[in-house]
Amino acid sequence: MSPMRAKVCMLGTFAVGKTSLVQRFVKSLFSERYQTTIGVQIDKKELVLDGRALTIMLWDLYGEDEFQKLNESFLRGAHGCLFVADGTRAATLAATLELAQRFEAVVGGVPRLLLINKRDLGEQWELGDDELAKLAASGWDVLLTSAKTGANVEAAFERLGRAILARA
Amino acid sequence: MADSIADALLAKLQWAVLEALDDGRWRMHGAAPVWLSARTSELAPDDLPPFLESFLAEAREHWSTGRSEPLRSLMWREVTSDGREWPLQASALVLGGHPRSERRDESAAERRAARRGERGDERGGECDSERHGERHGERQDDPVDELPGERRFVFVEWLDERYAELRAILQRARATTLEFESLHREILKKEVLLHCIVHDLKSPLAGIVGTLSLLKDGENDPARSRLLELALESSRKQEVMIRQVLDVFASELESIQSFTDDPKAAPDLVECVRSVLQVYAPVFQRRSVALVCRAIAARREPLPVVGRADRLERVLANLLENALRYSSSGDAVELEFEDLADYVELRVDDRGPGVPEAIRATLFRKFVQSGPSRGVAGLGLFYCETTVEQWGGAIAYQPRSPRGSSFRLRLAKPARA
Repeated sequence: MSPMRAKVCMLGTFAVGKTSLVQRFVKSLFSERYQTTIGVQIDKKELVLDGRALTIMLWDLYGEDEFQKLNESFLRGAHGCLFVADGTRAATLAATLELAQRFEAVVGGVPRLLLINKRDLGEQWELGDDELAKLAASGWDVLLTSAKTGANVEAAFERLGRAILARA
Repeated sequence: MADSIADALLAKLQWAVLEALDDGRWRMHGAAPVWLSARTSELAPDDLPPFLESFLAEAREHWSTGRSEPLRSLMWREVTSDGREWPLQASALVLGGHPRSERRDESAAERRAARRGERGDERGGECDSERHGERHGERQDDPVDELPGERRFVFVEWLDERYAELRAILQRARATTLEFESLHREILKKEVLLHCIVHDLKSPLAGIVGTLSLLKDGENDPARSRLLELALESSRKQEVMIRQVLDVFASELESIQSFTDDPKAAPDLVECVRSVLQVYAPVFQRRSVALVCRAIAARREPLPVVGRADRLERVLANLLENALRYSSSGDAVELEFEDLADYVELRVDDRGPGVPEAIRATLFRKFVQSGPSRGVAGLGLFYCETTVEQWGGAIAYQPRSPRGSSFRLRLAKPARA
């Protein structure tokens, strides 16, 4: 039986670490240098989760800001989404939650996870436990990740992969 | 000949031209570009890279709604096996037939015939230049009318330098935005720091003013020389502090964020408390507020804790000032400690009105004030929390019954050498 192919979008405002998370997950690489994404970069990763094969097509979409607005038509057909915010820039969380609403309006209720990235930058961390508790209370599955150290990166993709398989 | 020129151009530009077929497949015109590994000229969508596959589906959906205006894709990159990245962008176009919807019911031949008929009626014939002008006009107005039928294409352009230029501009713009955000945060931190420093500079002054007021009130008091000594000590402390501000302002933030766990460098809590009490005892006395600290007074051995003596004194001073601010004449402020296994808990209790429930959750945030501002910036407790947490400690608030506040400071003991 051929593996299920799932389109997974990476969404968040610019410079939150979407591309770094993908690079860490797909190639086990990390670079300190910020390289902005234009348009979309698609990467593929094959997983076997609980004996079931899953091919994830990762759509690393550009971070939205005043220079590039998200074209929502490219979200269609997504099987899941990883929303990414930067824990050292609290304002990115609100922007990401707004993107999540737009995503849901286009795609509907598919499995999703909220990653608060850059956990390694503890001294610059701006999100308090109360904010994380509020997110959890509002139904978000939240993981604190670090593309730099790899913390929770694989766990995040695998958790989303399992949720996608469970829904298939 | 024309085909071979077009093919050569497409190959040179590394463009792909795909024509939609009725059976859902796509025909490639010309040679496949380097970035697209295609074995045949007729391709199923899933023979193509994922983004292109997705865009082709979107193009068909676009056309199925009767729209004929061009549709452009996002930019994306394909990576060839040699590691080279190919920035690309696709456009979906309808050629031939009648791309403008308002003309769908009218064939090109009918329109041409109609126009010729109108002109013939008006002018009674055509000259060569008119025919040339007509053809020229047709090409300008509707250049694809001559193509047989309506054909749908997706062109994929290799963007090369244009992508690099756009990326460089966006990279610069976003890096500037990030730098701006970072500077903004840094300025905010410095502002907080500046408030803390001003707050600190004010603290010894309270001791000086209190002591001098007591001296003024009792000129023949035998304790006069002692009070003068205290005033002088407070003045010296303030002088040292101002010098330190000038010396260490630039590295202040870094020092707040670092601490030592070295037992040899650990400050003695008992000594710190006594030093602060020496400064504040006259102020409390003047306000007729008792300052009770039995356990500290009885303690004979040092009590080392993780931190820095000057900052620990500042934390204690902030808590005492706070307690005094909300105490009334005749009240008592108690400062006690408990020596536990891995840490020391220090309590500052008062009988003031307590912290209103509405602001308890945010009490340790900056610029939060529990009562009338009375000239304070609302940074004292923020400073206390930030500082002790940097040392692995904690600070908490508990209301007292029937009234009053209890601030509990938990300070870690240094690791044993």
